[in-house]
Amino acid sequence: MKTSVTLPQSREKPTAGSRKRKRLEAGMGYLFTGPMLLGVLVFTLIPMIFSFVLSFTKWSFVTGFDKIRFNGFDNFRQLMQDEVFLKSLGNNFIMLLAVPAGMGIALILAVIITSHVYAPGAFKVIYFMPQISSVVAVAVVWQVLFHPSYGPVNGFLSALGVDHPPKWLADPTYALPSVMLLMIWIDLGVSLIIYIAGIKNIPADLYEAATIDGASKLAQFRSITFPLLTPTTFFLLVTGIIGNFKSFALVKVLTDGGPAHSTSVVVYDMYQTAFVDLQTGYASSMVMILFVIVLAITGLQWLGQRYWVNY
Amino acid sequence: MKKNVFALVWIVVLLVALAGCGKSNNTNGAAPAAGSTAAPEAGESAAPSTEPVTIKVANWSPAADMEPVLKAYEDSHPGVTLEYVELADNGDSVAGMKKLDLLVASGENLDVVFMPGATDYSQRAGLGLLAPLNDLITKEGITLADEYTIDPSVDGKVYALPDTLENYFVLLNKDKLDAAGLAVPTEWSWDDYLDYAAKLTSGTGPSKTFGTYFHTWAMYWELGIINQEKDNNLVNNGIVNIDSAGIRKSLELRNKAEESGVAVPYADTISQKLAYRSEFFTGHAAMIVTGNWMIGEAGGSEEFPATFTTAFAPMPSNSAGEPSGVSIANGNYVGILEKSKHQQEAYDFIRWYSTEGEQMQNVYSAWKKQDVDQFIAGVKTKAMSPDNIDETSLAYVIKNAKPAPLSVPPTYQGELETAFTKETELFILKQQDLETTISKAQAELQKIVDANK
Repeated sequence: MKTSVTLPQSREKPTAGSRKRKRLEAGMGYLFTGPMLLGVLVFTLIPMIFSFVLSFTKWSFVTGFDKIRFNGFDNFRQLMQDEVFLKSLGNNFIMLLAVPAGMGIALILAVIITSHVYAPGAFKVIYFMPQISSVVAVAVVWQVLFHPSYGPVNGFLSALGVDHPPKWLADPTYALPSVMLLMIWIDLGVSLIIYIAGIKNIPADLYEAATIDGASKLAQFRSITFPLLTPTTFFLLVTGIIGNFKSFALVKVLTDGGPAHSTSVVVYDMYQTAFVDLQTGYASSMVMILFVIVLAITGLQWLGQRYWVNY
Repeated sequence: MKKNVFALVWIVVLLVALAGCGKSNNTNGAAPAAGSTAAPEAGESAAPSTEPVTIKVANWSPAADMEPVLKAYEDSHPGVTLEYVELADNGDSVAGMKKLDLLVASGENLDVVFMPGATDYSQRAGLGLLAPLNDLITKEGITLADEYTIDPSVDGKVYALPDTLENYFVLLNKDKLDAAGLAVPTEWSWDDYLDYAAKLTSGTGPSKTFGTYFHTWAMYWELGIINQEKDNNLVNNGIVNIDSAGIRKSLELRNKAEESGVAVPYADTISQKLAYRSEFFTGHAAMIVTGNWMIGEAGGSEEFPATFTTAFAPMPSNSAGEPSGVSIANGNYVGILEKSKHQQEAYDFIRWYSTEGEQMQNVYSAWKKQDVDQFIAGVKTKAMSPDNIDETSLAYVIKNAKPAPLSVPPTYQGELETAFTKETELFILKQQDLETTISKAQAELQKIVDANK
């Protein structure tokens, strides 16, 4: 507040030196970023620290602060023997496969859409559709498509002569792949749009030169498109993996982590532990493990990028 | 340098602002807020009932259902104001419990809270949220066993009074029963139940009528023990009850029904998230095992109008010689929060509500002195289509019900049910056989019991 009052004064005396102006500018900077910083502090940083502290306690959020009891590393020790948690963590890692798979499909589609189809705008809209629809609506539609007895998917399979089509969402072996399929389908639009933007950024003369040299389309893709898209790929990989670790809504709406925990993921298990079993401390320690894993994977990717990303 | 100093100042300012927030929050949560919200006039809590008192009552029922009853209490008890906190907008008790936990965690000064079932009740009692009522009960001079069908004590202490009574029976689609030439059963076993289900199954494809539908709840995996007088829980007095004839019976029953195609396939149930009300009222399933809360709904509701006559049959027994109609008695519970400032007034209210209030609302209550005939008549007058309730069989089932005392489950009942359901799911989806299921479930539940010792 005070800085805005001093603003006209400082303008009257421009001779006061560049130091003062710099300080003023910095002040204005903080003033403008202040609300955001405050938001980050109150809603992100402090809860994170709080959650870190809670991960060493046995506590339920309904009982009030006076009942917090520290128990050291007990939660983590217990987590290492918690079958549901380990299963969820394993599922998380299997689910990561959906990220490169989805990106591959998006890249192929992006190449086709930018140069080989009529009305590319329409295709972009079509592929982006699932992203703008609510997850709940999408999940309900797929729930019906995957109906084990009368669903169109199994109807099609039995028309092809498959005797015992999988039960999809109700089958412990197929439930996780089904969920991953949907994830790919939902997130395709975003990767596609970003890839198209990346492709548009590649200078056309590279392709012209390659064509003159007689390079085939495939060779052009391999030597021009793909290498020049590596920064885009890197961005999508990092954000995709982080997003994938946080997947919750789809699992919650589609399968509730079932059957028999086959689609449970860490965030879902955490939700269940914190808000159904009311064990806040234990759930916080799950979050800490997830945080460390995501941090480690992202760090590894940053370190690894110099070997394959061309800027 | 200077820039850094400035940044530091900013951060300090922000932290101070934050600390301010934190502090004021704390004081709100801790003590004196009660004075402002709960009892504006009764600041000094020393005075008992003569001072006007406001009691906050939290329940998931729609306000329209609760308010007439609360109004009646206010009218007969001058000086007491009841403030109703509606926990869910569609009567969803699961959502209601989540809202309740958040309200409690954020320091809302509730006094009276309702809980839908023993699992939710014992969990919260175990966390120390509820005030023990033993002293208040002794002071009033009543014996709970004389007053209520259900014994609400957890480890010897009473943290809530039983509100509604919930025991189980079978709802039957009488139109389909008549079409198949079957009588409404009064004494039957699970084998007869399967037999009925087979005879009631007809048609193919999406319009197929199944004989029965089993919901996803844990109770549908333990049908052979919840119809027992004793040892009717997954864990009784610390002893895991999985490796028992009752659980074997339950799982075999589910498996037979699934394999012969007389029950809605479990894969459909979970992948489509089927709901028992719609399955029954659309005629997709001809029989369902369910509880008292469905008595009123048998006459139809806005969402599921009754298009056929519903008949009632007692809970089947495990074998032909045993009596039918035995079922564990569960129900809603009503307790007082530990930090409530008006324990005595709140207690007076829950005593009234769990007895006369219930009578007014015409719900089936755990109060032993309720007038059953009046209740049945009330069901008919309140129902949307009263002719679709088969009164004879309803009266028979209610009067011949044998509510078995439910050993209020340990505070970790929820964990037990999750672990048990996981194994039974693998069994019904043909991922493992019966013996593997029994031994794995027995071992897992034992682990949970040991961890909670």
